[in-house]
Parts: sequence; C-alpha cells; structure tokens
Amino acid sequence: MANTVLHKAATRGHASHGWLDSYHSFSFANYYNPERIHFGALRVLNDDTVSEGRGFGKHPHDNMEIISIPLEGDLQHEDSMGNVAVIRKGDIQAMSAGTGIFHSEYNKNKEFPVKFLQIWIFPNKKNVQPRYSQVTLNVEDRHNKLQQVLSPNESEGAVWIHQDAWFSMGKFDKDFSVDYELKKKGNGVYAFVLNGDIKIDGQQLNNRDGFGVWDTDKISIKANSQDAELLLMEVPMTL
Amino acid sequence: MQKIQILVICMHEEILQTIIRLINNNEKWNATGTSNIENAIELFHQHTYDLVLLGSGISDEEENKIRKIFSHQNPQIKIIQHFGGGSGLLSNEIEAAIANNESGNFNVIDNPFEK
Repeated sequence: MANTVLHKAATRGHASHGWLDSYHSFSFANYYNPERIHFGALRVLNDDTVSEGRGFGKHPHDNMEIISIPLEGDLQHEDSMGNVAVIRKGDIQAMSAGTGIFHSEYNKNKEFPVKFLQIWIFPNKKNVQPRYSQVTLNVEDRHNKLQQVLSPNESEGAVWIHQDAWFSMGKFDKDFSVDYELKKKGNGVYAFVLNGDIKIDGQQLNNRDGFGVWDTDKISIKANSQDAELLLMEVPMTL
Repeated sequence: MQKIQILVICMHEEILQTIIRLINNNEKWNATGTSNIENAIELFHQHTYDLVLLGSGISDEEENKIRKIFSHQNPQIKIIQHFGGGSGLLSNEIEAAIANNESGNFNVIDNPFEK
C-alpha cells in the first residue's frame, strides 16, 4: 500500500523580499514547518521569481546537490569554478557543492522577471569535487511523454548528480495518461505540478501542488487540462 | 540576554568565515569557528556550546570522533550539518535545532549522510 503526502500550493511557505518572491514546499529560511522538512533526499523545493536585473549574490554551499530549472526568463550563473553561463526555459542546471563552492544567480534580463525552481538534494557522497553542468533539452520531447532530465549516471544523458535520483518532466494534452515506474526500490517520487490540473493515483492536483508517493513501484498520471505540465522527482526515501 | 553559543567546524576557510559572519549577524547567536579538528575538540573542552555545525571537508572518521567526544562531554549537544549556509538552510537549521533541543523533539535532520 503506497504512502502519500499532499502539499497544496497555498499551504507552502512564502517569502516576499521585494526583489525575490519565493514559495517554499519545504522548510527554508524563515519558513519552518516540522512536518515539512524534507521528502526523503529532497530537502528544498523553492518556486522563485526574481525581479529584473536582481538576484542572489555570491554565496557558499557545501555537500548539497543543487538543481535549477528555469520556467520563464534568463538566469545568469557565475561560480568559484570559473563558470559563467546563462540558463533559460528548456535548460536544466546541476551543481555538486561537495567540498564547497561559491556562486551567484542573477536575472540577466533588465525588463522581465525570471522564474525558476531551486531544488536541493542531499548527496549520497560527502566532500566530492565541486562540479557544474547545464544541458539544453528539447522541450518537444516531453509532449505527451515523460522526458528524463536528471539521473545519477552521466551515460543517461541530461544532467547527473551524486544521488540515486531521477527527474522527469512532461507536458500533456487533456486526458492524456501515462504511468511512471520508479527506477529503484526504496525510492519515492515527489510530483510538482508546473501548470494545469493533473490527477496522480486518484489524487487531484492543481497548479504548484506537490504530491509525494512512496512504498510503491509506479504511479499513474492523468492530465485533466490542456498543456498540463509536471515535474517528477524520484529520490531515495532513506538518508 | 545570553547568546546561543555555536561552534562551527569546516575545512573550507572562506565558507567558514562566511558562516561565522552570517551567524553573528543574528544578535542572539555567537559563533566560534575552526578548520582544525583537534582545535575544535580543545575549544569544546574549554567552552560551553549549545550547538555544533559541521561543514565540508570533515571525513566520516573525524565526524564520528567529534560526535563521540562531544556527546560524551555533553549528551545534550546538538550536532548538525550546515551545507555551506549561504542561503536558506543555515538559519532554518539552527532555529530548528535550538527549538528541538528546548522541546526535546528532534525533527531536524542531524546527519543526512548517516547510513
């Protein structure tokens, strides 16, 4: 029997700093909810909007896998490894903080806000060599299918991280349905609705709702609206 | 008001200094930091701390040693990871650890790397 947890969009933590508007699915910064510390190895899921030309100044991380997925606009990345890059919708960025990195993320655009997801995953190895990668994906490849965008293996394409985690994204026509089979026993999957209405294992979900399922081999997904978009994050449930 | 005393142990000197600065921005907290395990143990023997933050570059053996020695000296001591702390989790994890210590609950993730 599968276990589930539902995080409706309106129940997320919220912080408005003027230049940054952020919704936290899990406890973060000044938002602390002991019932929402993490979903397995998934520790942070922030839904961020950054004002024109503004952003996160240089700051450090260590021993964390950090994934950014732009939803609208252009995000300028710089880090202590010398990487300077721009990521935009259709791209995915992954950083292994490992022994320590400093980075900044700014809205490159002076006229429009940038919207992106900031996701932190506990790594399965400590003190790894810091690493940065980004990949441009063909968003057409997720139309009425689940496009794998992250895995633990470089050979699987897209970006990879130091954790037995797999992310997939899909954009579905109304009434399209698909099953997702979990890749590894003991993993759970956290679904985050990026747009529209989607039903997963009988649970109706709407825009920006989160739904975690574990102790199961697969989940059944059905789109209840046109162009419904979904991000699936399969992660280990034990740390 | 007595400040919460926090010992930060991190092998990355620049991150260590950033963490100390960020913690000390909170008038209720006071951070002491070191990038040397033996020095950390010496500090822990000499002073009373409410919380210990562990950062990068500490091997499993060193971490086990720290946990064993510190817990023996102070069974109530809370030892948590700080993940670099540059955004978001640092204050949250500290607040949670302090709150959990006061309430006797331990919801915060002490060590996500524990197998």
